[in-house]
Amino acid sequence: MADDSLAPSLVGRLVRRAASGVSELRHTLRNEPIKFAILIGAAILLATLVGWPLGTLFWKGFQVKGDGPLTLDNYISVFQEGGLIDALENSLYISTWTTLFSLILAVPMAWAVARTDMPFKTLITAASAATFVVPSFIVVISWIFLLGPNEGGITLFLESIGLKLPFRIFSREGLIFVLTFHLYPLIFHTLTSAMANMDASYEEAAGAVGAGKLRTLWSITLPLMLPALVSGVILVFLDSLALFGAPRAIGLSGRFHVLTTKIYVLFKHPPRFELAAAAALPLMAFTVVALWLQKNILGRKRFTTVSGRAGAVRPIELGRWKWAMLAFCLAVVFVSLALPVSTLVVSSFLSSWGEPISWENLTVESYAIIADSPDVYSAVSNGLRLSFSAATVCVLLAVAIVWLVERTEIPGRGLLSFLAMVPFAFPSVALAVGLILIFIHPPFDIYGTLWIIFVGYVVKRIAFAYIFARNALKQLAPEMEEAARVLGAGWLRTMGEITLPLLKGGLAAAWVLIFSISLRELTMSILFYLPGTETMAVIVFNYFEDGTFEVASAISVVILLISFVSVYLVKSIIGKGVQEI
Amino acid sequence: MTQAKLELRGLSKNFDDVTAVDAVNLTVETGESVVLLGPSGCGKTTTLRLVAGFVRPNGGEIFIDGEQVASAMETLPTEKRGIGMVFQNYAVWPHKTVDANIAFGLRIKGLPRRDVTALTAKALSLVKMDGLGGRYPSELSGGQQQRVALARALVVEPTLLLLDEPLSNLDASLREEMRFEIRDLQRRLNLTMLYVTHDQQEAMVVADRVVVMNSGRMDQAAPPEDIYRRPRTRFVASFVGQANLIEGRVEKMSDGRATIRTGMDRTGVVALPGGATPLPEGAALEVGREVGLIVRPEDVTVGGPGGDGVNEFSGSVLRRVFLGTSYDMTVKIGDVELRCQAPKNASPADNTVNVHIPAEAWWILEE
Amino acid sequence: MVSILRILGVILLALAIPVAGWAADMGAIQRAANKEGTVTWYSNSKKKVNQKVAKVWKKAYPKIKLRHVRKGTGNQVPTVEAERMAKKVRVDVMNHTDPATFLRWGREGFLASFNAPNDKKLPAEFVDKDHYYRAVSIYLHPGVYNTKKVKAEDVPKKLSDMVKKKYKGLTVSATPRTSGVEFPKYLTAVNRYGWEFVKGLADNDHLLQKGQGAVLRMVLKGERPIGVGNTSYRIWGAMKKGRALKPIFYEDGTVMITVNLGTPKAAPHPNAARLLINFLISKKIQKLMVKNHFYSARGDVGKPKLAPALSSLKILKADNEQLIKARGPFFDKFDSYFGMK
Repeated sequence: MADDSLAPSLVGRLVRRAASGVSELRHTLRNEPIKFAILIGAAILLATLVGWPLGTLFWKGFQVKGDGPLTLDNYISVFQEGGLIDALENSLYISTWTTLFSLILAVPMAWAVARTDMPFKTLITAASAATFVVPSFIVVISWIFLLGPNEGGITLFLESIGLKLPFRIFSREGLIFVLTFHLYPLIFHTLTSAMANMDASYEEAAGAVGAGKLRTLWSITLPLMLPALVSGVILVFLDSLALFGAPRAIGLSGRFHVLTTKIYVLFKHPPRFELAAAAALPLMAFTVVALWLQKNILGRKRFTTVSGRAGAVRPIELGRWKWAMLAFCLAVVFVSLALPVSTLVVSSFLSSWGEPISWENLTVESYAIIADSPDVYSAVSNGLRLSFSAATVCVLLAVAIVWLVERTEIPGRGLLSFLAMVPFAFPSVALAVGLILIFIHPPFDIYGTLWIIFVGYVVKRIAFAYIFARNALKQLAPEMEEAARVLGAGWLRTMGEITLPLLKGGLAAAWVLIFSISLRELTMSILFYLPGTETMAVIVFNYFEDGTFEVASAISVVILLISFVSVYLVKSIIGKGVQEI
Repeated sequence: MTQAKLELRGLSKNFDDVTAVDAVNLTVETGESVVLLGPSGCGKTTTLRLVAGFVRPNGGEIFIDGEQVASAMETLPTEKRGIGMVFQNYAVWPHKTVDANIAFGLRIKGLPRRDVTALTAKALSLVKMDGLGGRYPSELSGGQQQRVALARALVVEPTLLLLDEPLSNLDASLREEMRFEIRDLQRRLNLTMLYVTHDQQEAMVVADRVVVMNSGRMDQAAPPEDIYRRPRTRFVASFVGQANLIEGRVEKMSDGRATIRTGMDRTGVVALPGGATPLPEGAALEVGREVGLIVRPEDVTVGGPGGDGVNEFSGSVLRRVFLGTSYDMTVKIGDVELRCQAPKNASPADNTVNVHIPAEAWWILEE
Repeated sequence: MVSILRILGVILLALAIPVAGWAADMGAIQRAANKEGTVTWYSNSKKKVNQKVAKVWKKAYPKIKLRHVRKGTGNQVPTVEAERMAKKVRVDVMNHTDPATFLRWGREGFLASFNAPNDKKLPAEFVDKDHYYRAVSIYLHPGVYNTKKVKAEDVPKKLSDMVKKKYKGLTVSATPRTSGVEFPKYLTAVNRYGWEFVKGLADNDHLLQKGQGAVLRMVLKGERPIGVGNTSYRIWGAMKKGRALKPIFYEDGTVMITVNLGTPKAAPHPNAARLLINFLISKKIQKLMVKNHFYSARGDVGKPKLAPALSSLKILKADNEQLIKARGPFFDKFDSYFGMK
């Protein structure tokens, strides 16, 4: 039978692969101890930070009440839960459309910014990164007040000119709208960083054959960008699946569940964390499918566009169309950033929130209150420090892991990919619980300090850095590194002088995204925080919960300004470097 | 530069179930230029990468200057092998200037800055790139980039130079020019060189010895002329130049000549150089044996005056293409379609031609 | 050597912890608490209130650092449960608005029994019989409306009015699933009016939110001018700032919620925890709570300024037993009326 012969040959191949991997490991240890230490150190770090907490959660899932005898009941009960299928359907519906609409916004924007002579590119890039800084719960609050059916600003405006909103904010479509404008930067940034690296000669070749600009974009640029496109799509799809804040706010009012809100319901009241891992299984399944798809769509082809045959990157001249492109980009930025932020700015200057805007109702009192609160200063400092270090560590760790996965045959690479990706779509609440379970005990007793928040950010967002670094490394021909090795450079020096500088575009994009998304992180921060470890988002959240909306808005505005300025600074510093190439 | 001798002994490499390099034995003498020639997937690049140290062998050994640098058990890292390498896609670093690209290896060696500057300039002039050191690679043409790559490889005075299809990304005229330049440099600097290409003409120009590889094995290693005139296998014969492959059986042997029955209208008489046969040891050429023969198109005389009647055949012209200096003609003789090159004045009036294949023009393949 | 000292210390501390049911010897507790030097308090109250409490505490017990953390009920319970699951509790004292969880914690043996001297000052109904927890404050859960958007004559009088067609598309409340306060309200409502009430709300385009803060935002903004319920201290706090809001004390009864206070058995600073508990229900702090719009269980500290006397209202209280038992199925059924399976 065919099966009989297939199995042993497959086993044999796996065994040979493992053997060759082990022998590579042995050689590396003997000949290149520094490389060995860094790569294996990174692998161990990832296993500790991700594998250990999640593994513990899964183990608890097999126990009655989390520490009793072994059982499968938890897993069975989760899948027997009514409504799980409906929630799954809603999640898929919302994530699919969010991804599609994000593509429609992000692809033209990315192309215009990375490949054409459209003006104000840095502004567009920084603005779309800043979109990411706005905490989701604030975005949702803003949109509800803009699009609310009774008193929403935009709703009323449209009614005054005889128009109607095409959808209800409290519905699945409303959520798709909010998520699209919240998440499109993920595709935009993966694409711009990849396009900036592209060998322009491909496009020029197409131009020489007489293909028009659109045709070139469609048939040359986009296929070459396939890895970045797939990654962006995966990021948006998984992130929209994994988001909790926005679906909860809108889902409740719109009377529907998605996977995350359903999971939350499952282990709330009384909290049953032993169910968390089981309940997160569907989300993890999507991560695995996404990884598998990515590997199989892209695995066989080579997409090295930084091949060592350097070609001058000449921006495509758009002529009059550049103003149309700019208008489109500005419109997206306006809707995604300016509109929600403007409602915050207005609120922050009101003395009585909820009342109409008038001279009597305007004040700067809220800002005076902030200036007097030391906890705002410490939260800003905490937020910046945490985000800065989380972004840096994520990027460095991801480079080491990606290099190990892409450039070696060391066994267990698939597992490392999985570990880097799985927390991304893992519900933050459950992730936080897993981290507490591990990092409350010696030798890693960091609960209650900034360190556990830092670990949380790194674990949750390593996937960004991983995907960006992997795309960038896939684009980079191995010969670039080999050329340095031949000339006598060791691994570390090659990484420092050749690899990292050439990956800079992709890594910078990942860094900025992680930095901004960490600035706004709430779900884990609020579970972890103790005196002295408040972050910006926690402070804003607490002010909102206390009902002091004007002050909350004012703090949000200040935090947004700080974040926007830091993202803009980082972007322009890195941007300069990228253009040198 | 002190140049090294390179030895490959029983070198093998598998990727999963595919054998990329199969028990290759090869010695590149000091100052010798050896070209690995073959179609894509024949294992030539893998062999080169094994020598470079990017790939570790599953079996066999590699020696550079008598020192073992790789075996299945132990491999010396690339950077400790003292080699230079030029890549198909140049692999010049886009974020460094031409000078910085070339100076990289010298800096790694820890040379004083003055020496680095001087040597870099010298290397630039060696590849005729004087004055372009301040440019970035994106401001250079493809040919110039490959010169930078060559200078970068040579400046560190490697004991062994590896080139992996270095010219295949260049356009035809530039490719031809660079071939001679590389050969010239190799001779001038007495470099030990291992060069990979799929282009036979390039191989002919660059090589002291050509190694034709096929499915991971060396089919033949010999000077360019021998490869062309005395191919060992059908594969070598057909891969290098055009060849008519004719199957036959030995009918008679005498006086250093063999009479062979083929599909043509009459038997052919084949000269056996030095009275020896090219068959492997122990497999004597004997009556009744099936052999493969090749005849190069340019060795066939079409229409000309007959000799002694030996090796003269008559056939009909199937196809005739005017090439300027000659005709490319396909003549059907018996069951055999013989491709031959006819002088431009040899344009037969009718479709039937006489064809003469001198006894020296036949070559019996080993396998 | 150090570890022996530590063990001795633990034994001494253990001896200092009084036996349940006996009025504690606060002097001994304070001495031991001074040695502990710090106490961690998760409180659902506003940070400002906690800070005021901390100020008073610092004067009273300068040697013991009060680390106060504002954690709303929704985040506090998971945090504590996670610490508990990790078998390393970090919190010393907690108070939040979910009485059923305190009842459960007591039964599961998670809480320490502590007969605080000030427990005596509270009416018996506000102190757990095993002294696992007691009320640190009380508030009501009346309706609320936007006075600029709703005319006085249109204000609903009874909770049951909310299902009238007149209020279609105008009302908002938080879901009992995530807002602990809502559960007692909806439970008493269902006990009285049956599930018809919930169905009526759902059919009346009632809007659900995740928490009390979000409900108040909706009412203030006028997007939904009538809140079916909101926490009284929030309403009075906003009114004091001049917001156009008013509470609705329902003719058919307004639900009362107690904010309970307790300490885990495994608290890292057991003595300081006991000291803090007794301190939080002292007259001085209770007065402070009243100033911040909370009712106090103590009879000797008065009522919040804007608040009516409790005796003037029809007060409803949910049954704790029923709160624990009915929980899961109740939420599921509630959700199903709102189209969420």
